Amino acid sequence: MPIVVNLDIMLVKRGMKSKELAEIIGITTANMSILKSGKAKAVRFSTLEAICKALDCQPSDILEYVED
Amino acid sequence: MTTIKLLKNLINILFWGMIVFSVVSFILFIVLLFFPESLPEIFQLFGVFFNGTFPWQVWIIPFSNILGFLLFIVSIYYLRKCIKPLEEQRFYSDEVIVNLKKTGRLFIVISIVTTLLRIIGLFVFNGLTNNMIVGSKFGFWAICSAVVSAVGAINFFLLIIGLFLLVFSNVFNNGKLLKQENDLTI
Repeated sequence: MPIVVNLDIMLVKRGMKSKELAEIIGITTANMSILKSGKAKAVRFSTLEAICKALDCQPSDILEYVED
Repeated sequence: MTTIKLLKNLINILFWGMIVFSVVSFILFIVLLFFPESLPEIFQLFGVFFNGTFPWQVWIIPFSNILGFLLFIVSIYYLRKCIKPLEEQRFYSDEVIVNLKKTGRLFIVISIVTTLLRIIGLFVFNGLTNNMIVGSKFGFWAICSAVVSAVGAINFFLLIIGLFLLVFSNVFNNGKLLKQENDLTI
């Protein structure tokens, strides 16, 4: 998939664990794992909003387009 | 859920009823073939079918009926396999999709094969007796009505149901893909 999720990088920058982020934004750790591994088919705007709010960043910091 | 349970029970009754009927018929057939004297007199009358009185052409239509019946048992077996996941609310499982497709294909095969055999049987039998269809003064229309009667409403309906099950299988397959997409939307 040409859309890459750079959540790991932002988590390291903010010094936050993925389990903590999952709790803050209200998703399961299983879904967080799907999101981080790039297996997710889509991200809801509400989830993206919650992630940006929790990590104090922009959507472009998390999502990146890389040509195949 | 009540509907699925009712459907499950009806399919089970149909399936096991057909199995019992087949086994009893097979046993009767074997006994009639090898030990006819051990049967009651009324059953012994059927022995006339096996002692070479009738030519082989007469057997085409009964053979098509037996073949259709056996294939129908197999198709109901696959339909039974669909019910369990449906009962467990697993509507979009591979079991449902694959077994619905198999049942649909078998229904179509049954309707086409039995219809063709009936038409062949009708004309072969007619060639034998040479008095019903081709020799009649109605000619073309007599042939048409004979073919229509050979196709039969039940076979035609079975073909429609078979196609419907194939469409249903495709719908479930699309549903499965949508569910996967929905499950992977975070």
